[in-house]
Amino acid sequence: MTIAVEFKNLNKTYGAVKACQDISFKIKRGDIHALVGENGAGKSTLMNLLGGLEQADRGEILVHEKAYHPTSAKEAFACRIGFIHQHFLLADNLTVLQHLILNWPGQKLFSLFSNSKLLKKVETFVKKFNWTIDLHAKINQLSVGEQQCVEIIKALLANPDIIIFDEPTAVLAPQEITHFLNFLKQLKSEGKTIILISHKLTEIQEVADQLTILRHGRCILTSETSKLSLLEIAENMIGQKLVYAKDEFQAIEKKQNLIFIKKISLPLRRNEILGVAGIEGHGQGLLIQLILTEAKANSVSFADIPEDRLKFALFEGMSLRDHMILRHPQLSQYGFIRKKHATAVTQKIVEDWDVRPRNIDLLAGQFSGGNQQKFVIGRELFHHPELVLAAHPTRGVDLGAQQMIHAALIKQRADGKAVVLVSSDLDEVLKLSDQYVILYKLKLFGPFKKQQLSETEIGQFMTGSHPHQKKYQLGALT
Amino acid sequence: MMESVFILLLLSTFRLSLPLILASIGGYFSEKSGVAQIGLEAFLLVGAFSAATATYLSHSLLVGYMAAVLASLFFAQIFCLLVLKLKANSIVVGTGLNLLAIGLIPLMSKSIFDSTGSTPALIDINTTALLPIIVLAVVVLGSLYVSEKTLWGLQIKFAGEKQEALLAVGVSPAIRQWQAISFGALITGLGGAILSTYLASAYSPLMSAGRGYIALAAIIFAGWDLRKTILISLFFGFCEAIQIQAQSNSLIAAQIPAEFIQMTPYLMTLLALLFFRTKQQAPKELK
Amino acid sequence: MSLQRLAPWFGFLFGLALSCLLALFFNESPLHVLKIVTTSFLNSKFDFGLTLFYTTCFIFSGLAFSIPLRAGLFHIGAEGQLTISAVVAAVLGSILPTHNWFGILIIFVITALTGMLSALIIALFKYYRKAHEVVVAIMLNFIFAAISTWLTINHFQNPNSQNPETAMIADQFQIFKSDPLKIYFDQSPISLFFIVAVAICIFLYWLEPKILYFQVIKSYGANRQANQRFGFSEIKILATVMLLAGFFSAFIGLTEVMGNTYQYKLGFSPAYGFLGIAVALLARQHFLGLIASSFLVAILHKGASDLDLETQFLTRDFSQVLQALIIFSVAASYFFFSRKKIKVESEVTK
Repeated sequence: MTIAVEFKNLNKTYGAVKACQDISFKIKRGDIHALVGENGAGKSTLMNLLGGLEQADRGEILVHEKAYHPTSAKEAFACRIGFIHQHFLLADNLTVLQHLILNWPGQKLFSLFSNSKLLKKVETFVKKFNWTIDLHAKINQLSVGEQQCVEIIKALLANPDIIIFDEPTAVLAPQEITHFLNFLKQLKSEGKTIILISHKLTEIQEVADQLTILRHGRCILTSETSKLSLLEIAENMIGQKLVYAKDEFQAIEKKQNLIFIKKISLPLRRNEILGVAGIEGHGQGLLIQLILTEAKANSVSFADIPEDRLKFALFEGMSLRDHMILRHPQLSQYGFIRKKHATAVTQKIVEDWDVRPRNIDLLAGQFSGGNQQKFVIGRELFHHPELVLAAHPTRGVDLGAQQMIHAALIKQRADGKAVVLVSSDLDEVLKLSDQYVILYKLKLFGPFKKQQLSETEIGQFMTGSHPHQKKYQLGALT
Repeated sequence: MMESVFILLLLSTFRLSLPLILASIGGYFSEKSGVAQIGLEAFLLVGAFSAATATYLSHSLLVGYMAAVLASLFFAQIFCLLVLKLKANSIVVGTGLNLLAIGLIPLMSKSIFDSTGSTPALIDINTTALLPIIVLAVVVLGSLYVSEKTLWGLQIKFAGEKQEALLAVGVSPAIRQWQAISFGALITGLGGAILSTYLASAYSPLMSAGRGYIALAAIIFAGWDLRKTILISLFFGFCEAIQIQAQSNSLIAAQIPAEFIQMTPYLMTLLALLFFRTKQQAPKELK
Repeated sequence: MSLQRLAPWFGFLFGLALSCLLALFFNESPLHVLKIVTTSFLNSKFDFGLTLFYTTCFIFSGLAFSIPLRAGLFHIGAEGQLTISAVVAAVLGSILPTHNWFGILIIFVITALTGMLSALIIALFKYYRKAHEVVVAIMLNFIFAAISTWLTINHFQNPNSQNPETAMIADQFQIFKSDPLKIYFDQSPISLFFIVAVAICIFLYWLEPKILYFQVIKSYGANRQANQRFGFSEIKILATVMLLAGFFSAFIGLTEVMGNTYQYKLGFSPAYGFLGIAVALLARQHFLGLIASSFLVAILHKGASDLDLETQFLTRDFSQVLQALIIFSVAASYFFFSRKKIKVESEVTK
């Protein structure tokens, strides 16, 4: 049995959307097999089918050359398929041990927990993979990397044969990524089959034996990783030749200060994109709040593009026009809404930013992620604010919209605005920033110019392990 | 003199906190599993009425307690059906459940006893503290065990904190919630039974007097922790004991009007909410 | 009108039907019960006027529940607020020396303020102590009831009666005795307050889409975090909705004391506060719908109170059962009529 998983003409449709269309390819046993594609290409749906979370409409899956029709996640477990999700299934208020007990197979419902076997097994993992984890810590006390560890241990408890990783390195610092990739190689050496969903092409080149490219629900090609160049992979992902936009970055010499944030000795300057790099959860939220407070205190107009638009920027049950009215008091007079004016203004934004469909009465929740983000940015830039605060602005957004958003930020910079770009995507930060700072455990380090640090050094700052860490400290958020 | 007052207070506290402790344990299971429970009043009333009625008719306290359990379980099914299956808002349904109990009981009372709401007095029934103590011990020890030491209890907690984690291991959160709510309701119903057969010797209209809400306040205060909930309910029982002592004490009764003394439990709850911030968070999925 | 909007009405009818079927359990004919419950309001002009009086109180109660709900608050404190407001109105009415229009104005203003401040307590607890508004409201209901009882029995008891009630308000304040509606409906409890209630609903319906702050409140109820991110003051939103709610609760007290009995009678409220919830749910937050649902619930309430006389086993408590079953049915009806929101041009959400 050299084929671990085979997909045969797999189809899955959600309403009008064909998430998977006639997908067919094979995954070899003992391989690290990467699954690559844009948002919405069908990667996660395909894995949900494999993991028993969804059922296919047509087609079949063969695991170890036997027919496989899981109707639940539990069945997938039973077939020794482990799934480590991108969005962790962890409860903040409960402890690591409680999560492991939940996932420990074979416990009776009403008998006393017997943890000895469980603890022994955990210990073997911890020794083997060189981890340190406090079993009695609550999830919200752990770092993101440690939380991922918990997810991995959870999955390994059931002794899986095939393990699916969904975007595992999205939240890790460079060092942690290296550690993780080594971990994958270790798993492979134990004979496990690994399916890696990722859009980090360089990492895939490093560990993956084979890769499959999905686009719009179809399987485009499957090949040995070594046989394709990065460019070829990327082009197959989006289906057209990539035109790399000429760097529209003109170096601008004289820069005016817009705001100076005393607490952290950070100046925000016009004509500049200031990047804020750092692992998620090291104080990005606090930093943004600090900047917003300073802006309000100094009566500086601002654009606030939050990292979680559904949580902080949108009201799913309210129309686009309502959003404009709420955000911009000038669309009302003496507390009364100027409906005609608001309508005209909203309509223009929707057209300028290519928000589809162009219906301002539709509720925000009815738009796709990319369109929602475009609207949010259009709304925030409406009043030509002096300061643009963008947090993970291209998260969950397809490549076309991404390019539009990046271009918009660059334009704001050219127009004399001060732009602050907070992102855990290091590539994005490095690509767009004039200079950048690094956040680590609520402290700021830097500022660094574009080519000043190597990726290793950046990684060291992000994990507090750089030899000159203290020297570059700008200030602390608390 | 002081000694006897102290002992009286202690005994009084024990008696008065029984229904509260049971109600709050009952509410705890529902809330911990992620379903807000303001229908505790209904379960108390229904339990109290059924117990009083069944005990009178059968001359057996045990039968009365069983009737309380069955009646509150029945009411719990209505709640679960509406909230879990038909996705209705738990606070709306809880309010409705309270109304249903308040309306239905007098009608039943009229049919069965042709009375305006009270049940006839239970004169010849053994009303010592024996059965209530046994019930209390079993419930307290049982609920602590189930909640903290079993997989079922852990799954209940996950239902209230992160449903997807439960789904990922193949357990339906809705089923656990159904079980938790039902289990909690029968415990609360027992609290009602104790109310009408031990604290009193019959059912009288609206005899729960807001204890269901005080129990909920105890849970919230305790940060949804079972041990603390039981202790805080005990404390609220103590407040009620002081209130009754004060009323019977002629000196105090002369100074403070009866109505003000009567509102002590509610005032204490409010003051508690005022002065003590709930440190622990509510279960993440609490709705 | 979309099917979704009509859902609660189907629920209403189902709840009504279910309640009447329940009558079988008590050896009564469901059809007989149905007839009484639905037609007793037409028995006489007085009965119709009484029904309109109930409608008035339900409208105010529905508003007191509806408005905080827009901000996501579940407000069940109307009962306590209307009680204390009624006492204040009755007491002022009997002791205020200025027997002219100014005196009447004082009564209205102080009573309204009483209701508003009582309700504000809930907002303050919610904001400063993160306390759950349901528990606070219920504690306050009991506390206000106790205070009202104490005030009545110990200080303002009507010397001419054995019942726990306050003295009658001064004759000069009983202006609604001669109001046209009351006269037309044979001196039933109805008064011009009915017109006030309806007018407020119509006004709010017209005003709401035009006022920015109403949208701010709505957005707070929809997504508190985003609303806060936009920079709106949370305490201002909470205080606004609760002050409004208290204002409307107070009007129930005024409707009863100034427009009906001219005194405060202990326990006069047949749970207006709680029934307001049913009324508001039926109307599904629509101000005009509130008028219709209040009227419907009033019809049932009037009908249920007649059950005492017309049947052997059913008492006015049946009204509560009726309300409960209707609340259940209305709450459940949303389930049967909700359609999954179809994402336009949706991308696959993994």
